[in-house]
Amino acid sequence: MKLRTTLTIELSKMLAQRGTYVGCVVLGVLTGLLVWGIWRLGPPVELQRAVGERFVIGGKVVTGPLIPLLLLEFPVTLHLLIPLLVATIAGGLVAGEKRAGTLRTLMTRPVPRASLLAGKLLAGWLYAVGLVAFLGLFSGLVGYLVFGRGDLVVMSFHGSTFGILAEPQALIRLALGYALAAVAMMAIASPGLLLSTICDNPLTATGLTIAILFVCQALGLIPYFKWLEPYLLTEYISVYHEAFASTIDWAQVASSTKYLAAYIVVPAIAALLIFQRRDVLC
Amino acid sequence: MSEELVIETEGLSKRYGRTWALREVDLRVERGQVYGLLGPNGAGKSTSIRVLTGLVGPTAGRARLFGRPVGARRHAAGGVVGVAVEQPALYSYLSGRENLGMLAALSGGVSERAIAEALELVGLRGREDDKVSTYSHGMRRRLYLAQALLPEPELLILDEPASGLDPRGLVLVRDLLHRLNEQRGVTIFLSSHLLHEVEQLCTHLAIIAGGRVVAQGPVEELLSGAQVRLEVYTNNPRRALSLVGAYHGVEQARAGPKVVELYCRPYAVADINEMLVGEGLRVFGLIPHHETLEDLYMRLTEDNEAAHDADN
Repeated sequence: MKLRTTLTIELSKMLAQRGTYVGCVVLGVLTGLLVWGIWRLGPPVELQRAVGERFVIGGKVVTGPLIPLLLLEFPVTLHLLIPLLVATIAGGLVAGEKRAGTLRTLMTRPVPRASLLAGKLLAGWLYAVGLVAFLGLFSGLVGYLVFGRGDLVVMSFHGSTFGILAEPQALIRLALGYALAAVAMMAIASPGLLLSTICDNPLTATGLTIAILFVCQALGLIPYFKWLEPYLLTEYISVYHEAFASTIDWAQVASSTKYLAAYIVVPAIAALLIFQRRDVLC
Repeated sequence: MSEELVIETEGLSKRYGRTWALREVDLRVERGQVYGLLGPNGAGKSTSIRVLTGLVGPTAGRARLFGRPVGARRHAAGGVVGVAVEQPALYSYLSGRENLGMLAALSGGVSERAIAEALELVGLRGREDDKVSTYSHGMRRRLYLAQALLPEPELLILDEPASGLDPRGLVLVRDLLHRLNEQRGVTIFLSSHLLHEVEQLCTHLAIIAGGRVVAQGPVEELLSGAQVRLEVYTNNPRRALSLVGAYHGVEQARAGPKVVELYCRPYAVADINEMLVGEGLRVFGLIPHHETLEDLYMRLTEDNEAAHDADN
């Protein structure tokens, strides 16, 4: 009961703030720019080159389902833009209230601290999921409106994967890909919330969350730290790739999801323990 | 009787790093009292309230609300305690009504009527649907007080409730607290550094300085048992100073060119006069000033603040 109340309150607060919608606006603009570019100039060069060198395809290369896929594949979308937006919201969940003083108002109400934090945590996860879902639905909608129906030409920008998925199968794969991307973004929200409980400044919490991602990425590139690779969060952000393989490697999906789940759960428990014990001095 | 105790602390202490903010504070607030915690800035008033409301945990000692321990950094008394700690902290992007509805929901929820009544009590009807960001400081302060009134509390814990209010707001809040106490029997525990406010509102008070309670009890009792500030006009103030300085019960004696000032019990005035005359001094006048709350406060806090600074 208390958890439902705290979650409802957190979501109401989130929805009442303009900042919450910045992410949707940014992703909407990004989608618009991509669609405008393809509409005016044709498919991305990489796609044209990859397709043109190997096959002659009759019909449309660019169809409605391609737009959500291109946005997922966009290097900045899941590795910078959405993580930044998620980290901003998650970093402000506790630290923002500390800074505004409203945390003490909340915490003098007769509600267990665990419920309060759980409400915030669920709201942070829902924001991450919502943002990814918005991107998928909005880009799909715009894609269909501009380019119409059709099969999905699947290719990796690295050129390792190429295939054509029939439209119904394409939609299922897109849903799976976006679901996996959403889980990856939840794995960013949790450390964001943990840092938010530790820091008094939301900007510090956000900055540290992003710094962790960059450090993970950097460690993955340094040969001396190759042994760390399986434990780095950034290694699993691109788990959605699996959804577009010719045959889905479910074992790989399960393994990646397991690590992401650890990144979701462990910081959440740590945040809970810290939040339970911490003096509220703001 | 112990079941009548609404707030009880025993040896309550709190240390931040190396600084003791509270030291062995014992408070006893009974049902129906309006209890003021009076002290200068940094004396430990807010820390006391933070411990009582579960915002911070004590380093040592115990605190109980309605006989139930305040522990695990959350107050145990649930929705029967209304709290307003320090500066009004509300959601500026929400309206006054939305703020109250949201905070009341955390206490189990209240009806729209109860929210309207709380807004009426603090004089904010007509502005309830405006965003808090458009409120003045005084209005925010009153809205903050309104959230403490939801749902109907048996105990109100208020930290500096009059801070930042204009004269009209001050009167409104004072009258409101009086009414809540007299008509609904709400026990009120408030901190303040405003002597006038405490004198007008409180039935009981504790004076806190340097993290320690230096006096507590019913206001009238504290003042009746207080000392008098005595001005002694004599032909030889220096000699008079050395004589009264040795007299038992005389405190803070100091001599000016024509007068000796000292603090003593009221009954000692006649003895001091007799002693000075007996020693051959001419006494032109003895003027006792009965100690006001301000005198008491100044005398008690001065010494303890100095001691606290030395300790830390």
